[in-house]
This record gives sequence, C-alpha cells and structure tokens, in this order.
Amino acid sequence: MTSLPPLSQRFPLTRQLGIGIGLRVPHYDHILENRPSTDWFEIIAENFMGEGGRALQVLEAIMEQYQVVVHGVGLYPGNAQGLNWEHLRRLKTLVKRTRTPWFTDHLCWGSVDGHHTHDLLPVPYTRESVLRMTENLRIAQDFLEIPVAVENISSYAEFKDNEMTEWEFLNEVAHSADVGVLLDVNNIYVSSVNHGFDPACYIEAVDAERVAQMHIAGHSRYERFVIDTHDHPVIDPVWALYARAVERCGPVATLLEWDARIPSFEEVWAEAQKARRYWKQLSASHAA
Amino acid sequence: MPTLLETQRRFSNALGERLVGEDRLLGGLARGRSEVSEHFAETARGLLRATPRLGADERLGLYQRQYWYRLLDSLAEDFPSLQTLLGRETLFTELEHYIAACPPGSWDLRLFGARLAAFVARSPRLPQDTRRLAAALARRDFAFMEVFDAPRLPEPIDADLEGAELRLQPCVRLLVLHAPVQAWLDDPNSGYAVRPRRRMRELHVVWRARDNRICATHEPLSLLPVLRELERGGTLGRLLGRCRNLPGARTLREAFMRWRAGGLLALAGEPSPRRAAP
Repeated sequence: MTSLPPLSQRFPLTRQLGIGIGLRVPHYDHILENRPSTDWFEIIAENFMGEGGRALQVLEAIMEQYQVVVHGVGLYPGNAQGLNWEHLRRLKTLVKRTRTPWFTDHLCWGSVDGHHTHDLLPVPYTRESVLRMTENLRIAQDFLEIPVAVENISSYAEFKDNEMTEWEFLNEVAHSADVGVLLDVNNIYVSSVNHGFDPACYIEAVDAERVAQMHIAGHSRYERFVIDTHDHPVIDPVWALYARAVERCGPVATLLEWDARIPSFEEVWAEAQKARRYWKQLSASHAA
Repeated sequence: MPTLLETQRRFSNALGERLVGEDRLLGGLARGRSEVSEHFAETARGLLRATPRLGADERLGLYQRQYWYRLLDSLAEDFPSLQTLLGRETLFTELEHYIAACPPGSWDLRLFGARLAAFVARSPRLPQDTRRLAAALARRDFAFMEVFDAPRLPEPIDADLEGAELRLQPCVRLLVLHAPVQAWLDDPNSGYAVRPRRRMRELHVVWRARDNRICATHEPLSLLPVLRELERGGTLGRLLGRCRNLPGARTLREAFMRWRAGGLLALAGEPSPRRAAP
C-alpha cells in the first residue's frame, strides 16, 4: 500500500487554489480565446476518459494556464460488489495526464450486477456500508496514488435500515478510509429539505479537519421536494450555510457547479466569486 | 436486515421497472403524484422511510423517473436520424423497450446505444419495411458516438504514399448498410427510401476529422476491399496486392487523395486499441 502523508499535509493547495468553476463545453471557446482569470477548473473525469477528440485537446490547452482538479461521477465507492477496474485504470491515466492535486468522487453507489444506473444513489447508513465504502475508497486512493476526497450527495430517499445520520456516516467513512471530504453545501441544503433535518447541524458536525474542498450550486424547488439540478444561481440559505462552513473549515478551495441551462462564462464566474465575500468576512473577523 | 448487496439489487431492479401512466414519456418531475405499479410501491415501502411530505414510493419514484428520463434523453440525442425517421413518439416507445431489454452495462453512457441497431432490426412494433432502414440509420448514428473520442494517429501528410506503411485512422468507421440510406438522407420524405430492396448494400464512412468535426460520406462499394485492407494496414503496394477486383486506377487515385485530404489515413505502426462495446 502506498503511504500517504498525514491528512493535514495531503491537500496543501486547498488554501491557495481559490475559487473555481466547472469546465463545461459551452465555455470552451470563450476560455481558449479570452483566457479569463478564473483560479482553477474542475473537470468531470468521465468526460475526459476517451483516447482522443476535442475534449482532450481542449483539456491540454487549458492545462497550460490553469490548475485542473479531477472530479468523478462513476467511481461508486458504495457499490457492494466493489470497484470497476477498467474505469479505475482509465481514471488513473487521466489523473496522470492532468497532474490533479487530488481526486474527488461521491459517497454513493451506482451499479450492481453490471447494471449501471448513471446516477449517484444513496447507501443505507449502516456499519456494513461503512466497511464497504472504506474498503473501496482505500483501494481507489492506493491505486490512484493521489489523495482522495469524498463528497456528500443530495438525496431523495432514506433507508429504513439507517443506523446513523448522514453526517455521522460521512465522518466515519472519511476517518476509517483516511480520505478527505468534499463538502457540498448545496447538497446538504437539498437533502435537509427532502428529509426534514436541520442543515446547520450537518455543518456543525462535519469533521472540519478533513474538509479539503467545497461545492456550491443552485437547485430546483418543486412543491414538495428539491432536486439538485445545478441550473440556477446559489440561493441565500445556501450562502448562509457556506458562510458557516467557511468559518469552521477555513477558506478551502471552492467550486461553483452549473451543469444545465448554462449561462455565459462571465455570469457563472461572477456567481462563483460571491464566495470570496465570505472569505473576506472570515479574514476580517480574524483580524478583529 | 437485508445485506447491502440485496438492497442494491432491489433498488436497481425497481429503477429498471418501466414507468407506467400516460405521461411516462413526457419527462419532467413537477407533476403531482406519479403512477407506480403495486410491485414498485411494495419495494419502496420495504426499503425506504416515508414522511408526511413524501411517500416511500414517491421517493423511489424520483430516482426511477430520473433514471428513465436520463437514458431516454441521452439515446434520443445520440440517434437523431432514427428520430427523424420514426418520429418522437415511435422512437421513445422503441427506446423504452430497448432500455428494459438492454439496460446500460458501461460507465460510459455514449456506449449505451451500441445494440440499438440490432434491436430495431428485430422490433415487432415497427413495420417490416421500416426496420431495415431504421437499423441502418441507427448503426450510422452510433458510429458518430464511436468516433467521438477515438484516437487519431499521425498522418502521412509529407510521406510518400507509395512507400509509407498506411492504415485507416482509428477514428474511422466503415459501415456496410443494407438499406437506401443515402436516398433517405437526401430526402427523408421520400417514400422510396423505406421500400426494401433485396441485397441492397451501401458503403458509408464516418470519421472524426483533424478539427474534431464528425464527418460522414457515402463511398462506392467498389472501394470497400481497399478500405478493409487499409484497416489491416500495410504499404500501398502490399494492401492493393491483397485486394481482389480493384477499381480502376483513376478511381483509386482519386479515392486516396480524398481520404488523405479528409484525414482518414494514418501512418501505421502505433497500436490503437478500440474501446470494446458493452
């Protein structure tokens, strides 16, 4: 097993990286032509795991100027039947190609018996799930040879068999697998509405020492539930949660996700930069 | 308590259950309570907690609808010619059956339509006259997916074509289609297009060009042996020597000029594994 440095030293860039946005196809031309001054880009791993094509060409050009962080949607560490080695091998090729400082994916499962759901599905929060998730994340971190951080998902369902809260589950998995946490503040908000818990409790309970990165995003509110659509600006209650998360975890690398009905690059970047005001508030309070 | 594996199997099987209700193919989650089967509701009640805000079946139903809409929309987007031929309603009915019969088996959603051409070729819901053209169009549409992120090798731009070891680029697909695809592409309203003709064969080539545009062309069938040999690779002399029934010298020369200009040719020598279809 590869020996990783202590967690405190494993994500050294997280307080230097700043604010980033997701690299998305509608913005390719704008970025390549104008070289805007965004701090970093997050890429969805599975969109760049082919062997050629425009996506990889654009990625090479982007990497000449920007730090890129790889974010997966297909690792599925919660899969009871283990990881997909073909996927993992392609992922490692991408990790090496991008020299990403860390890799993030979700606290979820997504396939069984060869049936891929292409979704981020919740696991029951049980001891068995902790063990399975831990084993798979340890294998992934060892194989990829870079630090891994796991992201809390938004969910619409809670299992009858749950033995702990989601934040207890997240902390336990992160600790036992010895991985970082990608704290998605919008996902906490979405799940809190759908399941009726206090999102502030989640923020207070998460192991702040392990938070290596944060996500913010917009969502869609329906009459009786909220769907994590990433197609709107961030709402004030999510910014309020983010402010508290920054107080607890510090100004760690933060990324705005905007994946559907994507507006202009300037609009997305302007929305992302709003995160800075909470960093300034934190600096001001420390100075005071 | 069921094991994690048992839970995931029940969840996955529930997602794969076909949606019920008249509005099932319309997309969108905002409508009121969705219709679900009793079996589905029972699975949901067995797995999930209900709250006054949302029942267990509604919660599982949100995942089920997202699963189906994601796959339907993805396939419809990947098979535009098939949609033009069949119309949205017929296509979505066909896709519904396809998703139920051939659920996704890869993490790469672009490969999901790999078996759609064979599926529509046998579809009892489509008129017999339409099946062959539908299958051919589906095969052509899927080739666009296959070449999208396939590798490109160095080209013989400056090399002497007669001396170099040549091969087709890995991002080229040769399609022998058993339907009047070109006539349909020229005029999709043509009634002639769906009329079957025995032993009909057309050669279509789909590839990703240097600038990453996906291109498609209709080539004379007489060039198929040459293109097949180019897939295997070799010097021009050797690969032409392996062909029977070569077309005329002028046709050959023009074809090679066309293929070189279009970026279909590569210098052989570098292995280029193709991604296996699921």
